[in-house]
Amino acid sequence: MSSERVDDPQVRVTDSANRTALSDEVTDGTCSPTNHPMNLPTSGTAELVVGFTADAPATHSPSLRQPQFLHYSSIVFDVASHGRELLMPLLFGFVGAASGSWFWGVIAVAAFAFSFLRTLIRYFTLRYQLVDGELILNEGLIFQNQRIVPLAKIQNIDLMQNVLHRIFRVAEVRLETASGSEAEAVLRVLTDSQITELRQAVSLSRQTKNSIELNRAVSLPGAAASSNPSDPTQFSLPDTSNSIVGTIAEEQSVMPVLSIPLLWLFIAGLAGNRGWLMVGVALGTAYQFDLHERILPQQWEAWLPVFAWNWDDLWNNWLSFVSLGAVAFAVLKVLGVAWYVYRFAGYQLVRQGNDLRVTAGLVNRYSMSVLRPRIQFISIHRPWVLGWFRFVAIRIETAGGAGGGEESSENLSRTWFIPVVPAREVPRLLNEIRPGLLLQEDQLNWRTTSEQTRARLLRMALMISIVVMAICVFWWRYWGLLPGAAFAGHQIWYAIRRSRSQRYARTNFGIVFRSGILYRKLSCTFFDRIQTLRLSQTPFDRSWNMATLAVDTAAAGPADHKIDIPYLDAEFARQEFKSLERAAAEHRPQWRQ
Amino acid sequence: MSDNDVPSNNEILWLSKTSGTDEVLTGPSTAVEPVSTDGAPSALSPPTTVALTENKSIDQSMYCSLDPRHVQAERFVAMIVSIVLSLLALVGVVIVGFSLGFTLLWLGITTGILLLLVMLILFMFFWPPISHRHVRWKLDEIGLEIQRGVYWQKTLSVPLARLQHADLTQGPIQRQWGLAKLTVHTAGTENASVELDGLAYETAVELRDRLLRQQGVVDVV
Repeated sequence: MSSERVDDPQVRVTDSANRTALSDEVTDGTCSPTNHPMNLPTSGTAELVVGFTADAPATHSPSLRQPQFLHYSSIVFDVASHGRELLMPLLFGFVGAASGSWFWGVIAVAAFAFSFLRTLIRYFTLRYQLVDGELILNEGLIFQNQRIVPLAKIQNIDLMQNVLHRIFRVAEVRLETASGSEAEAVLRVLTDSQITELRQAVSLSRQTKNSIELNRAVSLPGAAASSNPSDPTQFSLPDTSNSIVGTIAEEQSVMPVLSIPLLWLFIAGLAGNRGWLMVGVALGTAYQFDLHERILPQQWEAWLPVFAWNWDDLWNNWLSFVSLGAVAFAVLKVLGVAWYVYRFAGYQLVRQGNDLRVTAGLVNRYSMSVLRPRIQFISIHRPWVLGWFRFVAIRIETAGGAGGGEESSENLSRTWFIPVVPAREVPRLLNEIRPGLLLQEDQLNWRTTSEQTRARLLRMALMISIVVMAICVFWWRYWGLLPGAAFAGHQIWYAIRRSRSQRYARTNFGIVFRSGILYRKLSCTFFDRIQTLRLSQTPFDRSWNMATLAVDTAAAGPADHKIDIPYLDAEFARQEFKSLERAAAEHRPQWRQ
Repeated sequence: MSDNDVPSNNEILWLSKTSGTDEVLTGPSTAVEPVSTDGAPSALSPPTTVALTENKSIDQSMYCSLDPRHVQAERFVAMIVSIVLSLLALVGVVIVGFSLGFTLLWLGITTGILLLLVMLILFMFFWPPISHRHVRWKLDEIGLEIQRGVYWQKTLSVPLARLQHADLTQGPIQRQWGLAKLTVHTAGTENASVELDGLAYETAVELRDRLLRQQGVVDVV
């Protein structure tokens, strides 16, 4: 392998600029480093960690410790990657030059020069280095940015190599952490030896991380126990970490978890409104191919009785009107059932070790696999009608599905993780999804919204109603009272139900949130899955002594439920915020793949 | 527009604190005192030594405000914006005047624009210290906590172990005043990245280093 390492003394930075070299200015801040309150008493945990990071420098090779430029061929690749923006000016330039006009030629040359200058600036301002188990990336001339990525957090190192890359023996490197869907660092381009070094450093930091975690698990057994569950008698939750380790070792055989009989799919189809979707798809397809003109005869409308009616005579025809509605409803329901059967016939959920696998589908069988440790969020949906039959649907969220959108195949299979299941099966399934998870709705220590919520929502409903009523009356005179009153009634009903429907509970595994009036959603997430916490208060909240508490997880949306809890009593929300903050810090993710 | 536009109960919120009946975003007893309007440094109360092992004592660890130079930097930006806006307004008014004639209507519109401009400039001049007073942050063993918002108040908390990576950014104006913006990235979705703009550069560096050092090394997802 040829060594195109950036050892050229001309490009190497001489002043050993390290991470603090972003600015030379030293000025007094409000919080100066010397008497800064961040000098905290360190607990046992912190010492352990600090001890690790202090040892870390020895773990990777020294050649990347100094700030490095990218490989010099980066300039070529950078220009090439911006080739698309240059295409138009260059094209104009050629055309212009061919037709004898130099104006476009000058424009093209200027654009190219500008782009090249930008590339040069980018090349000479971007420097990276590996120090203390961290990747440090400096870039920018006017707006300078310094990014630090702990190597242990790097999940993927993607290499991109085309023919040109191979000629130079380089590759474009994309480093990804768990955050966001974009690559956290794009190094365009590095040589093979630099990539090897980078990889070694990352894998070393991972090994160190694992050993540290083992130490932590041994030395700090009380970490999970100190999470003061609200009422120990209501829960019997074993320590998940141990039970999981046990299950991984023992059960590698395939265990059937759930299979869905056709009857359940019928019920789900009848209760749901998937039929509308089918009608929409059918109409869309028909319109797309002009089927209504090709297949149906002209004046096809005349075939349908509804168009033959004399609408003035509707009162006499009410029977046929009602029967037509009933037929349409039945067709919708049949289509809904068809959709469920088509998609989920032969649904099988099995588990092998930590791997949950779903296979389903009548014609096209799809299968997906979810690693239990990756599950961030569990959501139990109970639509109105499905609830009558005592059935629910379970949705899950895993990390890293941020891209792809609602209808991507990955998100779709998480949305329909368990499309329909009797409510009585839920505890068993939850235990399969996350061992030890016990979630009995009637046994939770529920906390409702602030006592003022109903008054607040009612006041709001009344104000909106009055406005709507005034508009209706203005428009239709006294007849306007009718729709206005209907609207007001709905608003008031909604306000009352809304204040009753929302519930929140903190358990010893995480938090549970329930909301929805007709379409009820109950979701839970876990302390070790909480990413950030937010507590907010609008001026209205303040006057009602309320606050909103929100919990952010890595879940990306298939569950269609956010833990964003409004109308909480302000003092309670504040305490809860503090408790969750602490619980999130104490509960470190314990599962490994 | 003056400082008095801040609701007086806000002041009380941030300064007093003892009773548990306070509002949710009420600061703890050692809250940073507000800076005066002219952007003088806020007086930090002396650091309280606290044992962070107990739940109740978390409230007592220290909050920091942003660097007071942030106010000056914001005012500088406001000045640039004001100058650009004024020039634009001047050019527009003159062009309209020449093309449609300097009538009474023109005079009225010009006066209106002028008044709007003056109000905007006054707002941009007096708002930074007010909003500055309502931003504060705290780093303890749990994580980084940021409070901000004058009317719409918001508290964000990022547990140390959830931090993925951090960005430290300086624009030309921030460099002039020795300031920096710290962005902390988590694996979350809604609040995946949390920004703290207007820190003194060294504070930002130290805060960033401590965040990365203390967090330990664990998977978060």
